Amino acid sequence: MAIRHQLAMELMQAVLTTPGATSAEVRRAVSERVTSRVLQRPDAPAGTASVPDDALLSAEMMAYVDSVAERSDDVTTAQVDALRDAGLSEDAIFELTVVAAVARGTAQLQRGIDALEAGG
Amino acid sequence: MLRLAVVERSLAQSRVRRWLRRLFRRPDPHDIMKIMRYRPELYGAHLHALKRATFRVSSTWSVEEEELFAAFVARLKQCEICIVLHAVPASGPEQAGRKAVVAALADWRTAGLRPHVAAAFRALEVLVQDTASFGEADLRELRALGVPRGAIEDLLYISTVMSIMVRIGNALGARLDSSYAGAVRQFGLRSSTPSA
Repeated sequence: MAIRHQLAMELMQAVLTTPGATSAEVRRAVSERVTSRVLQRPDAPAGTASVPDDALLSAEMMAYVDSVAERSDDVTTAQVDALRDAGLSEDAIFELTVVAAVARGTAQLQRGIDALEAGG
Repeated sequence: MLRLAVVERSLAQSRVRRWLRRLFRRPDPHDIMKIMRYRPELYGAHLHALKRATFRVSSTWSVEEEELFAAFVARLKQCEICIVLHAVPASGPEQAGRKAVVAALADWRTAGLRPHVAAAFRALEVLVQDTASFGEADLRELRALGVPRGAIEDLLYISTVMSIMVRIGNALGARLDSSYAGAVRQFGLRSSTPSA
């Protein structure tokens, strides 16, 4: 598992830090938002979930990355166009897409590994 | 046509290359390939490395079973192109294999899967669809059947790779071109266009 774990971490690191059209801060905010929403149990007491800093993300960006992470089959061309209309370049949209998807996949992996460890 | 023109053009080919591809009956690059090759230093090269370390390495699951798990994750997230790309190798060369894959993807509970594979489907379904609630209890059936820890890790990494690929494919409007029409029909899928 060590090699795969290392490769998964390198993937996460690359999508967060490879120079591009969006800043590392914006990508980290997307990643934290996605991760906190994925791992938040519906029955969690109010106020117990960590709250990421969403101030760097526009409403269109939040709506889009939430869709990619939670209901990707429902993403529409209109959502992508809304990001373009808000001034994002295609490279920026691509970066938001991969950060949201990789953060979602990594959170899922971590939940699975935690469950495996819990079983001894 | 992908929703981002820069990604659509990532594998743009010269006329000569297109002509050679057709001459030698090589299929055009599909949408998932275009996504993987766009700015590979950001995403594609790293995911490819993780995929290579994840598939075809298990000593418990067969190649067909690994591909079936991948197709199942794609099925859960409704990514037609990803379903077909993995359902074809999951089927093997025999007609019976294709029928078994169609049945498993339609309703794995009634598909007559071997117990280990059915238990893997059960765990994957919760992990992918309800990640927050996934816990040790969801792995008990696999453990009770004697599935080794390493094979459970294989499942976790297959689901991770596929969850990432499927989401990006869905978001960018990846779909199969007409050359895959036969495969789409074989697996009982509808040929779809991305949502407007």
